[in-house]
Amino acid sequence: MSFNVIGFSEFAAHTHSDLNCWLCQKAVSSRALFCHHCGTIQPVRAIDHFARLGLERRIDIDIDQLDHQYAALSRTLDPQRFMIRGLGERGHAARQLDALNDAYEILREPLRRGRYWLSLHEKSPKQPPDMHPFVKELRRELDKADEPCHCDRVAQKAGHAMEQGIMGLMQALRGENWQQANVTLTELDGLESILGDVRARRSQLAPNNR
Amino acid sequence: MIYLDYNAGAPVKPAVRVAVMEAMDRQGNPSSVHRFGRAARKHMEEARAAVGAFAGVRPAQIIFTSGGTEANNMVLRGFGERAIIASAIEHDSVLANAANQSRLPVTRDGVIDVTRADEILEGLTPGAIISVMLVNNETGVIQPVGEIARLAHRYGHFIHTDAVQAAGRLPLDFRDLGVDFLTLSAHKIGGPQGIGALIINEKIAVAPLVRGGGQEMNRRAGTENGAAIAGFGVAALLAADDLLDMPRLTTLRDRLQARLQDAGGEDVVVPGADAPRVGNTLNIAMRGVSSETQVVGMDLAGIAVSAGAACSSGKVKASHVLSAMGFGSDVAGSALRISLGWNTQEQDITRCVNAWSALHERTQKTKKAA
Repeated sequence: MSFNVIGFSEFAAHTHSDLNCWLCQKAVSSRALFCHHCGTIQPVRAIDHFARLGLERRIDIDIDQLDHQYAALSRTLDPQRFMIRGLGERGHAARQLDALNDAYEILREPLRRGRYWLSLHEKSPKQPPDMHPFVKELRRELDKADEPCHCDRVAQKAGHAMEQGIMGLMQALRGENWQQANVTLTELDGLESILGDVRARRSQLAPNNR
Repeated sequence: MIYLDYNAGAPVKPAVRVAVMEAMDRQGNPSSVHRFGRAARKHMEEARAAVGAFAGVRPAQIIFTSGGTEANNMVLRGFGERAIIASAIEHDSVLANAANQSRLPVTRDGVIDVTRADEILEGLTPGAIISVMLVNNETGVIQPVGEIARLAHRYGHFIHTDAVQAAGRLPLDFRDLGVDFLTLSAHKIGGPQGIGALIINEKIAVAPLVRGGGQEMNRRAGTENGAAIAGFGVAALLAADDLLDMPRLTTLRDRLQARLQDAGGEDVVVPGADAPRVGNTLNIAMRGVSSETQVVGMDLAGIAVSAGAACSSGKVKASHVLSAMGFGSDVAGSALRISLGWNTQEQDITRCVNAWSALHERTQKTKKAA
């Protein structure tokens, strides 16, 4: 029985990957930011956003946990830390930080997370579903709005519908009801667009009263 | 031999070993003014910055110590005559400094009872030091440190957290936790043994435990352990990958727990299973079989695990943590701590299950024969 528990010769086994460090050529995990042999930062690898943030892959993520993971990882990737390293490492660090930021923004926002979840499961629609009648009706109401209070009313309805829609989206995704999820996502996209237009319309109607 | 005792100390990561060896090849005392000294200081400050980023603090808030035990002693002895109140599940280095009475109790799940803590903290003269660990070393249960910190400050106390078991398993953020002091140890994250840190709120003066020199901004005398500090810095950087590895370890731990529960049936108790736990730790009791018998049996089968905390005397005794959770000696004296880490493989789990199941079968036969 050998008691050389973690000798260098045995180390390669830990990496669960056939990737190699760009510098020392030893094995590294696809998730790893650093080579554990030479300490060098690694290039961005093709991993999902959940893995990039060290989260279990699930639609109902804990937002606090996401925020904390992001804060810790972004501190690690702070460009200042890599100023004394070579050009190659600085570039990898910057791209790792960009990838982390992208992943965070997508997971943080329920709509984007939902859309990403569908794409991860290859369930994105080939053609977008028809717009929900309620969204069409709200759009007409906004088009007719000629006073700020009309805009506020549309915004209130759209905001409420979005809250409901996000809950419905998560429920559909949890239940793997892909068709319903796609329909709800389209509705939410429409509502989001209306909310953006409400702001623009309102500032046209009451430019000094935001 | 399979190592599943990461909570006692993680194997040193290769890049850490390289950093330590390189540092040992450099000469110069970081307090010296000449170029060797300046170079040594530069390396030390780089490591300090890495540890600072790891914990979400400025480098000036870090005092390097000889490890977690010294850091705990430093903060708990650095205030003169004040009441020191700790939870009932702390490490010995905290409990040895705290009052025996008024320990903060834990629930059956191993979580500090916040309601009771509120009552106890309210009854103290303001200015007491409250010490609660962030993650328990035996059960892996995550403690409500943020809530206790808010209570401590509400009643005018100071709050310290021993975060050695949280490092690399949970994202750390000193400010977010709201604590005044935080303890770290390098060897829990694949760094060298014999180096740790006390992180402080600079607005609170702590008297040095080790006197007779101006090192560490007059807070800890003695020439700094440059090689170990260099290794700590690299380990702190690489600990980001431990966070990324945690979902994999959680899956392995959960699989291990399920398979041992299947194998052991009603003889098995998993203290803390229903509480939020870090993903690398499993505490499992084989009811009625002493921890010592299990540790030795597993060791003979090629699996290194421990009974609760790694005991400095080498003796195995009933766990004070499990006792505080309300378990009797049939569980508190029969627990194994299995802790996973950066080099743990799927096949390690399979071998662990086989070894534990064989041990369980043997002990059951012995019991029946008796």
